[in-house]
Order: sequence, then C-alpha cells, then structure tokens
Amino acid sequence: MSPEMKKEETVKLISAEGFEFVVDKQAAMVSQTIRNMLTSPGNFSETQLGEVTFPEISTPILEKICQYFYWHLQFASGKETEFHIEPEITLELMMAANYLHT
Amino acid sequence: MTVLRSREVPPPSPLPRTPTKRTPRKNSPPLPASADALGPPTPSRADAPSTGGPRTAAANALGFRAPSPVAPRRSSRLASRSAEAAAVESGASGMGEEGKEGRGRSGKRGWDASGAGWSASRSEEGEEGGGIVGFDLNLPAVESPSGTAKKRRERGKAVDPTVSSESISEEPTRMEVIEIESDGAQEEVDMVASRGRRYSSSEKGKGIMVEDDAPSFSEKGKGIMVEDDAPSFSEKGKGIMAEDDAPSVAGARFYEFLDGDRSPVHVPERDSGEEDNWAEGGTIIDDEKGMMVLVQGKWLTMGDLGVGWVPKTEHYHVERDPAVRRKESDRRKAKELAPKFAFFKPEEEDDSEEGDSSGSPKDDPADWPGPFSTAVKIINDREKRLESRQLRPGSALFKSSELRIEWVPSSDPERGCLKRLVPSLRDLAVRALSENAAEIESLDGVPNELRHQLSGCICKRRTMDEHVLDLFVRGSPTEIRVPDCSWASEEEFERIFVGANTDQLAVLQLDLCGRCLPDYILSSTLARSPNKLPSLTTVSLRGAYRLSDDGLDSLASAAPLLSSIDLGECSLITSTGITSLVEKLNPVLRELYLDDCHIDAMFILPALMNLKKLKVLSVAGIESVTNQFVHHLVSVHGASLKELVFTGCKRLTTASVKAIGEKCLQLRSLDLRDLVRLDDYALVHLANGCTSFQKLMLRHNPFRLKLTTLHLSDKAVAALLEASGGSLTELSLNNIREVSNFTAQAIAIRCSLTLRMLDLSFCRKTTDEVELSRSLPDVTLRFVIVTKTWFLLCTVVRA
Repeated sequence: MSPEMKKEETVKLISAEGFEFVVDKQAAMVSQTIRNMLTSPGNFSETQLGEVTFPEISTPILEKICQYFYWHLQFASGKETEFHIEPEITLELMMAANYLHT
Repeated sequence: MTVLRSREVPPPSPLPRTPTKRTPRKNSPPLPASADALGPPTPSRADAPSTGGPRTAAANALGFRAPSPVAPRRSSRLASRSAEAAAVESGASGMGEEGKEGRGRSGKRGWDASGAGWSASRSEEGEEGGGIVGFDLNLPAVESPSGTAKKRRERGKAVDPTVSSESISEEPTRMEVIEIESDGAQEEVDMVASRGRRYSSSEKGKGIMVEDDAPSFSEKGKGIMVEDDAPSFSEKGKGIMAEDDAPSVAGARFYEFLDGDRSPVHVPERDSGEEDNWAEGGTIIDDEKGMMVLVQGKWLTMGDLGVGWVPKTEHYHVERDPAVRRKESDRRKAKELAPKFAFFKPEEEDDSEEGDSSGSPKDDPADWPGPFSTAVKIINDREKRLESRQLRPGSALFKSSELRIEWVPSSDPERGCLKRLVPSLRDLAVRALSENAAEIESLDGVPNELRHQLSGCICKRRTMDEHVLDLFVRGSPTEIRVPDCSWASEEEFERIFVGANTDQLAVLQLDLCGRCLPDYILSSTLARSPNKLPSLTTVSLRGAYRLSDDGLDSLASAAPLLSSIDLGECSLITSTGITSLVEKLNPVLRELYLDDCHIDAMFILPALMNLKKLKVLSVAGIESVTNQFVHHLVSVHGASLKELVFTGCKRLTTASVKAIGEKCLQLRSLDLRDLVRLDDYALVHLANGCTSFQKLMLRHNPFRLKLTTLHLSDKAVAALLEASGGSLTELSLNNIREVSNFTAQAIAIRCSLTLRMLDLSFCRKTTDEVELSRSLPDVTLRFVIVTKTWFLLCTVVRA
C-alpha cells in the first residue's frame, strides 16, 4: 500500500447503505468479480468512474471484505498472518465472498 | 479381501506394567503349596496391570511355587497372563533392580537382565518349592486365570536351570502382551489370544526353524520373542507340554526337551485350545489355524511349520472332552469362515479372448494406421531432433542412453515457482463457520455450492450432528450433500428426515450412512410413499451396508426419475436387487456406480444392456467383470458411454480395451487402474479410438513390453497422450514403470493447457531433466502428486 495514492489507482466500493470505501485498485482486483467489472470493456460506468455498487452487501461486511483485500496482498507478499472473522458475520461474509469470487 | 491371518495384537508396552511390577516385593515366605496358593490378592498386587486381582494373586503365589494338583487349565492365555504377572512379581521379588529393568525392556537385553534375575529367583524358589524342579505340570488348571498363570510361570521358571533364563523371564513380559481383559468370555479371549499368538507363533515358528538344532534355549526364545508377541511363553509352554506325556510330567522330561534340539513350541495359535490339549495331550484342533496347522491326532503337525519334534507328541490323548469339543466346534467355525478369507487366484486360462488377436507380436503396433502411429512418428521425430541437437555440442557428455532434456530454471520472474496460494475469503469463512457449526442458526439463502462446501468441511471436522444436519434439511432444499453420515444413529436420522420437505430435492448424498440407514428407516422417512421424492435425480448412498434389495426397491418407487445412483460398497445388495432396480429405472437411468458390491456382473448384464441412456458405469472392484461383459456392454452402449471405471477388475485384458477403443468414441473418462493384464496394445487401441479423454486414470498397469524395442511403453504412453490428450484435465500414471521422458514431453506439449491434476507417483524413471512446462506460457497445474518419484519434476508455472 503506497502512502501516496494517485487517484487513478483507487476504486470506490459502495455498500447497500451507501457507504463508500476507497481502496487500492490492486487490492480490489483480488476479487475476480471486481476485476472483471473493472477490466472488461462492457461495464462502462464502473470502468470510467471507478466505482462499483453492491446493493446486496451491507456495510460491515463490505468493510471486512476490504480488510481481506489488504490481508490478501500482504499474505501473497510473504507476511503470513491470521485473518480473524467474527462469528456473527461469518455467514453473510461467506455469501458475499462467494458472490465476489474472492 | 486380504487374507486375515491374525488380528493385530497391539503389543503392550512393557513399560506401563513395569512400574507396577517395580514395587519391590520382598521375598515373602513361600505360600503353602496348594491351590490356595492362588489365594486372595495381596495388596502389592493391587496395582497389578489390568488383568486384575486373581492374576496378581496368582502371581504372588507363583513366586513361591507350590506344587499343586493338576487342574484343568482353562485358558492358556489367561494363564499366561497371570503367569506373566506372577513371573513379573516373582522376578521382581527375586531379582534385583536389573531384573525389573530387564523386564521392562522388551529386547533381548531385557531378557538377559531378567534372566539373571530369574535364575536367582528360581533357585530360591526351587528351594522353597522343595524340589519342584523345573517343570511342574501338576499345577492346577484352575478356573482362575491366576491359577493357570501360576502354572505357567512355574513352568517357565523350571526351565531356568538348563536354559538361560532370559527367555523365560522374557516370556512373562511377553505374556503381558495378551490383552484379554475379560475372564468371562473364554472363547473370545482364546480367539483373540490365539489369533494374536497365531501370528506370532507362526512367525516365531519360522524364526525358530532357522535355528533348529540345539540352539540355546534363549536363542529359541529369541526366535520367538522377536515377534514381540505375548503368547510366546505360552507357546513355549505348549511346546513343553507337548513333550510331556501327561500333565504330570516331571521336570526332567522338560529339561530333556529343552536340551534337545527340538525347537520349542511354535505351536501356532490357539493358545487356549492348545493349552488344554497339551495338558491332556489331546488332539489339538486348531480351528482358525486349522488351515495352517493340521491337527491329525497328533499334537500339532508342526511338520507344517517345520518343527522337528512333532512326532514326539503322538502319545497325547484327548483326555479332556470339553476342550476337545470346543476345539472341534471352533474348527468347524473356522472352516466355514475360511472361504471368505481365501485368496482367489483367477484362473489363468479364463474365458477369454486370450486370442488377444491384437497381439500378433510380430506386428508392430506403431505401424498400424491411425492416430497412434501418427503420434509415434511425432515422438520419434522429436527424439531425433533432440538427439541431433544434443549430439552436436557436447555429445561426450551424453552419458545415458536415455534422452536427456536440458532443463534450465526459468529466469522469468513472473513464471516463478508456485505462488503461495492465499486462502480465499470464501474458504476462510467456510472454515470459520464449520468450526462453529453449532451456532449457525439458519442456512436460508445460502446457495447450494456453498452448502456443499460447508457440509463437506463440517463433516471433515467431525462437528456434524443432528442439529447441523437439520439446518441443511430444513426448508425445501434442492440439494443435500453429506459426505459422512457415520455419526448418525437411526433415531437421529429418522427425526431429521421424517419431516423433511423433499418435493424439490434433486440431489441427495448420504455417504457412509450404513449405520443409520437400514431398510426400515429408509421406508419410514425418505421412501415413505411412492413418489415421495419426485424430483430426485441423483442419489448417492455409498457405504449403506444395511441397505438391502427391498430398500433399493422402495427407493426406486419413491424416486421414479432417478438418473444417477451410487451404491458403492453396499454389501447387502445382490445382483437380483440391482437387476430389478435397473429394470424399474430403465428409461431414465444414466449413471450407475456399483463399486465393490458383491454382485455378479454377468447376471446384471442383460438389464444393463436394456438401459436406454446409460452414460456412466462404474464396476470398480467387482471381480466378476470379464472381457465378455465389456464386449457386450460396449457393443450396445458404446456410442453413448461417457465414463467407465474398471478399477481393479482384474480379469480384464487388452481385448476389453480394444473393444472400448473401437466402440466408445465419446468416452471422456476411463479408469483402468490396477488392471495387471494389459499390455501396450491396449494403449494403441485407446489412442486409435477415443480421442477426447478428459480423465485418464492408469495405475499399476504393467504394460508389458511385448516388443523388443526398449522404452516402448514409454513411447506408447506418450503416443497415447499425444493422440488423445488434447483435452485431458486429469491424468494419473501412477506406478507405470516405464514412464519417462517421452511421456513427460508429451504431457508438456500436448496436455499442458488443460491439465489440472497430474499423478506421476512411483514413476521412477522420470528424472530431473524431465521438463513439463518448458515451452508453455500458461500452465496451471493444480495438483501434482509425485509420491515416491525419486527425482523432482519441475512443473507448473503461473497462477
């Protein structure tokens, strides 16, 4: 995660309640779904605006997912830690992760 | 089925026992030599090993051997146990520390140490006993195990003077190995004991055979002990007994025996029976061992085992009827059971098609027109190119006659080694959920794929129980997959499924449900009424060992649309049941898995041939599958068959594969593992016929070389892959000896784009130089199994 984030390298993920999470593009690409959305030529709005909305994913879940993105990058670069998941959100998180292919 | 030679008797470590034995026992004055010697357990015995009080009591008594009237011995095993306890005790008392230590150790060393101790104790006992020199067969064979133990022990001790005590002392320790806990079930105990002993004794017997003449007793002992089998002592005892004419044989005879060059007992098994027998010199009918040891009115045809002293025992008479009778009945039982364990050697001549017409050995398969020959040509060309390339520069370096492919590690950073696979969030969540399965409240809205992954994970963690399964069954699920139902009891299963809404259920997997799914439960829950499972198309009941033909029938009535059935390892299902099932589901059945069922393939063949839509058939492990079966099957269904599994159908030969290659052109998945009668022509036929394999499983196929060309098998496999491997996703070449460079090249070049699973275990001819991913930009190999391959295969690349 570079300290200075150029605007082009971030994407905005919007939860069902309207919360906006700004994350690195590289982090967001951990999700195959988001990767496809952002790179495929079809979805113009997502590609151009750099914003993706998820009406089915609630805010705490989306927050956890963003945390996972960064954890994933960290893990792949060698630092292996444990990713803890609170039991209450596990079920929804599982379904959201399934949807996001992550 | 493997031949069940003996039940594994876990050798009890002497250690746990030794502590108890280590309680130093002061030499207490000898107990009166009478049956009372076996008296009440003394406190020091209280902590004796699990064998219990009486044993210890006996042990006590044993130390001071008192001659006692011969009593019928009930169980050599128990006797030995107590004997050994006694021995231990006495040893402890008599010997010093070293004795105990010796005993503790299970090696020969132990023997020595304890042996020394033994001698010491023995001598003093001898004094006490007032001359029960050596072998006192007069010990009562009392009911209490301790009594017998006592006897044994004494006997063992008696041996001391002439033989190194090591063996003796060792025995007691050994005897502890016998783990029979219950005094009650004599028979079972005997069985178990005997089995355990059997094993050891036979081993021992062999061991002793080697050192037959006049080895020191300790040597013999060693031979026996090697097995670390408890009954050794009893074995010996038996041997000793055998020597004796009558239970009251004097010690002198025993010594004579011992000194002689007869190997001691290798009495195979049947401890209890044997013991009894020897006491009276009766015919020992070794039931279980019956196969091994023919008791023909002699003591034991040790001749079978090569034991020399067999004739000696002829004078033994059956004196004790009950024991003999028991032996007889046991023997009868064993005879009945034996066929089950008999090893079946398929007749070599068998019905086939040994007219392996494909095998005109003169005819080089590489010359036949077709994809195979094309592939072989390609391979040969490749080889020549490589050779020429290599011959140019450093031909001097060419050491082996095999083709060497230069391998250089890729310097491309992107194509690095296997990227560490980061666990996906989904997997992490599933894992977390499965750990807390009890806390899940509901699985509403969870898609099927996730459900299956979740249930699989939960089953693996063994956290599946009634509550959790209920979550999966609740609502109106379309798919329920439970890979492991072994935890469930009948009541639980009934409770869960009796109220289940099965209208939409399309896929049901209840593997390992044997315990909870007998016919009546099935009929009361899932197959309650005809058409109860209207949408069910796929069912898997692997391991439903209580399901019989009737249950199957009710299932078929309840699920008329069933198109895929997996009945692996349902042992109660018979050919008749399968036939009627198949007939019932004639118009719809597509997939049938009958792994390891006890059915006759030819019997069900007509029904199978009548099926309209058969696509998948698995008859793995069914011995009655023959070439004829395959011929008929593929002649009818060949065109539509997509998957065939013939793992372990040992009677199949190349002719079957030829038929498959000719008729099953759409075959996607073929499993020919463990078919040892295939040769290279089989590969030829496959290459020429089936062109689009997705899954090819070969294991342990010898692919004998019939031609003189070296490396043909390797080339043949390579050619097969070349010709048909374009869409291969799973490939297993487990233990195909000849697989080497050509195959590797073929895999690399031809299969790399699609291959997901590769198994090259036991292919010892593959080498480091084999490079699978050399020229391929994007290869993703998920699983590479390289067990026992002596050299690493460089594989994969890119994620």
